[in-house]
Amino acid sequence: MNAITLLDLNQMVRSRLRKEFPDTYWIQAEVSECKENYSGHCYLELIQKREGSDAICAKARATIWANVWMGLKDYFESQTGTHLQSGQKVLVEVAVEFHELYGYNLNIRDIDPAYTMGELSLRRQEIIRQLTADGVIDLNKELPWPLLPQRLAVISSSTAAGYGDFMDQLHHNDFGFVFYTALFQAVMQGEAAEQSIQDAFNRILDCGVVFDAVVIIRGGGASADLSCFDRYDLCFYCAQYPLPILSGIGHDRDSSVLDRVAHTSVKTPTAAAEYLIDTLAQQAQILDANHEKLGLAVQRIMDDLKQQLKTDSDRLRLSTRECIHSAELVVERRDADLKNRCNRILMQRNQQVEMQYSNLMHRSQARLEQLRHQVELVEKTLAGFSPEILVKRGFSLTLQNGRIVKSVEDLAPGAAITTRLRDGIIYSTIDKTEIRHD
Amino acid sequence: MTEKKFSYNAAMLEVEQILASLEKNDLDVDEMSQKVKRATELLQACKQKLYQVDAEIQAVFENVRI
Repeated sequence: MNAITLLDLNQMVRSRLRKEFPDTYWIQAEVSECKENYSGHCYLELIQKREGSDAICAKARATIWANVWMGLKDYFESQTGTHLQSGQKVLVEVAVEFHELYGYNLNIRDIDPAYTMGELSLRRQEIIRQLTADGVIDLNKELPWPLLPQRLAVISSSTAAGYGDFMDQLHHNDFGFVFYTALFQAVMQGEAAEQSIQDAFNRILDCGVVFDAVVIIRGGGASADLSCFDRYDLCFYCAQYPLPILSGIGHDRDSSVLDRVAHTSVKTPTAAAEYLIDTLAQQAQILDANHEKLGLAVQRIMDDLKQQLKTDSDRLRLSTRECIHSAELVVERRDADLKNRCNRILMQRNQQVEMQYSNLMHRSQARLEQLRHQVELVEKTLAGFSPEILVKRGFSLTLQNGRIVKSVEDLAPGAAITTRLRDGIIYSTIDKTEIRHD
Repeated sequence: MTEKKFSYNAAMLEVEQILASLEKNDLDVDEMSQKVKRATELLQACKQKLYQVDAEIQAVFENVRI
C-alpha cells in the first residue's frame, strides 16, 4: 500500500485547487464572525443559511489581509454607516485558497458596500414594517412640536465633537435666543449603545424637569457605526416616547430607523441646533409680523376713524352751509317781499296823501276863493256904509272928541262938537238939545 | 416643575384673536385701545421668553446632574 503524507495530500489539494480555481469569485454570504487582530488583518467566518430558516448550509473561513483591509475598511464604513460585523450580508470578491497547515480559506480581495447597504436597508425596512404593524411608527411624530423648544434634554456623549458643535451653535446663536440644555450622557456606538441610550431616555423622564423636547446627537464622522439606531427595541421605545425627539446622529447614508420614528430628523448635530434656532426664529418672525400687523391694524382703524370724522365734519359743514344758504334765501326773499310791500304801501299812502293834498288844495283854494268873494262882497257892502262914502254922498257926521255922536242924550249944552261935511269940517258948541220922540 | 403661569401658546392665540377682531374692525375705540394695549403686552412677554434668560428655569437646569 502506497501511502502519502498529510502534507503531500494537502499540497496536492492546494495545487489542484489553484489550478481549478484560478480566478476570483464574487460571492454572497453572511458574516457570522469578524475579528481584526493586532497586526491589522481581519478574520471572518462566512456562512450561508437555508432560505427561510436559520439552519446553516455552508460555512467558510475568510481573511482580509491588512494591506487590503486598510483600503477597504473606511470605504465600507463610510458607505454603509456601519462596521463590518456579524449578522451582515456581504458581497465579497474572493480567491479560493488552501494552506497545508491552515486549510480552506477564502482570501477576500474586495467588498461591495452597496450590497450590504441594500441588505441593511432591507433590514431597516423590515423593522419599519414591524413598527408600523405594531401601530407605533408615527406616535412620536404625532406629538405636537413645541412652538418654543427651549428646554432641551440632550442625549449624547459629552466628549463627542458633535456635542460641542451643537452646544456652541445653540447657545451662541446670532439671534440671542435663550436655550436651556441638560446633558444625559450615553454611549453612542457599539454593542452597549442601545441599552445606554434607552437608559438616558428613561433618566430624562425620571429627573423631574419639564422638557420641551429631546435631542439625540452624535458626531464623529460618517464612518461611525450607527447600527444601534436601527435596532428594533430602541426604535420601538423611542416611537412611544412622550416627548418629541429631534435626531441629529450624523450620517450621509440612508436615514436610520431611529430617524424614521423620531419626531424630526436632521443630518448632523449642527443641523439639529440650526433646526431649533430656526424654530425660534420663525416664532420671532411671527411675533414681529404680529407686532407690525397690530400697528397696521391700529393705523388703518385710526385712518378710517379720521376719514369718518372728516366725512362727518364735511357733511356737517356742508349741510350747515346749505341750511344757512337756504335760510339766507328765505330771508332775502322775505326781505325783498317786505321791501316790495313797504314800497307798495308807501306808494299807496303817498298817492293817498297826494290826492288828499291836492283835494285839500283844491278845496282850500275854492274856499279861499269863496271867502275872498264874500269879503269882497262885504267890503263892497261895507264901503257903502263908510263915513267917507256917506260924507261924500252928502251926509254929515257929528263927532265929539273923535267919536261919532249917535244920540242927543250923549251931548250936553256947551259941549264942543265937529261936523264932517263933503267939503270940510264945522266946529260948533251946543246951545241946546232936544230929544225928539217919534 | 418650572411651568410658569404665562403660556406662550395661549398668549399667541390671544394675540391672533385680537388681531382678527381688529382686522374685522368690530370694536369701538375704547375697546380697541384696551385690546391693543393687551396685545402689545402679550407680544412683549412672548419676546421676553425668546430672548431673556428665565433665572428660575436656568437654576433648575443647572441643578440637573445626571
